[in-house]
Amino acid sequence: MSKYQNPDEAQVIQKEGYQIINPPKKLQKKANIRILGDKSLDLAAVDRAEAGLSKLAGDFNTWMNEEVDRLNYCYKKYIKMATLENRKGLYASAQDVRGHASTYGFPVAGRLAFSLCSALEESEALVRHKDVLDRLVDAITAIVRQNARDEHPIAKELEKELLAYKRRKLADAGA
Amino acid sequence: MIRIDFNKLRFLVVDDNNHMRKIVKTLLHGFGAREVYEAEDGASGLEAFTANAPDIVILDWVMPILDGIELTQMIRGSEGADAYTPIIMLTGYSEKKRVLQARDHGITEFLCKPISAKSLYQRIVNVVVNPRPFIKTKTFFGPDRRRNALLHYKGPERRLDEASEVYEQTSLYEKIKEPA
Repeated sequence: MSKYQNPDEAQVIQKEGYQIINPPKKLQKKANIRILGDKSLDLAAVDRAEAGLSKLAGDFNTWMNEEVDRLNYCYKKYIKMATLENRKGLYASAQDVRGHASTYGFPVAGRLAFSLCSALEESEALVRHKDVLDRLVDAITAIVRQNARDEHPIAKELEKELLAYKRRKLADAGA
Repeated sequence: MIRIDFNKLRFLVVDDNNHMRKIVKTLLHGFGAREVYEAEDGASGLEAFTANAPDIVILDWVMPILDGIELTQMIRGSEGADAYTPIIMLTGYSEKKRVLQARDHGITEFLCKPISAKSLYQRIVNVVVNPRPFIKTKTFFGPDRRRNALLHYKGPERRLDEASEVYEQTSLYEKIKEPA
């Protein structure tokens, strides 16, 4: 086999029981890669993207409130009927809050959503008693509705107390 | 500094959250991309993939109809060069088991939310500048799950019970780096 790969074709190296395939290099050709000096990133491109993102920031509050509406909708649905499907829906909406809250400027709400996800995923005792879930959903809702952005001191205090409460409940449940 | 021409690349963003699609599109446009297609679920993502032949796919994990893993499996199972398309999974799931599951289904790069311009830029540059070879076995087809060759590894070959064999590949960076 030739040492040099035709950039338009995949290069297949046959091994016993498997193949190693070097894909065609069309992406590399198209992207016109240039290395100027070291391997650092083109920070000007990153800055331009961040500037574009900051123009969307005016919508973040509305978007975060929509996420919280959905979380509350899914939670109420789950409380009404604790099926596996409703639990999955609640988990998915908590995951969305977890993933988006920091981008929208609510990192504490994001961390509490993470805690909600872990409670749903890992502790049947917490899910059964619902008390901790209830408080987590309420806290996330309050932080967003009150616009307690970034590392807001009251939001952080709420987080601290709530996580301590969750730990106590877990200990009580023997988890 | 590494520079690539984003304006020559075609992206497909698949996410059921329209706000997140807007954010990713905004970031890509900021990097210089012009052609950014979008889809709101896995099924329309597959349709958009077939119709537009994107160079890079950015997708969410949890989506209706087909999720991100199922869409990846369909892309990896497609005919020809499309099967090698880099796929970046952008998701709130950050647990190790999820990362390993994504990797074992042929995801090229994994990016945890919250998203940042820098982290997305790094992943895109990485899939372009440092493409990994693909591995095809009876049960797996996707980017090589070993990112680095362990040159001093002396244990048994994990793909087969044969003597350890290191396949050396020069990185693209080394190939195109201009002498200082």
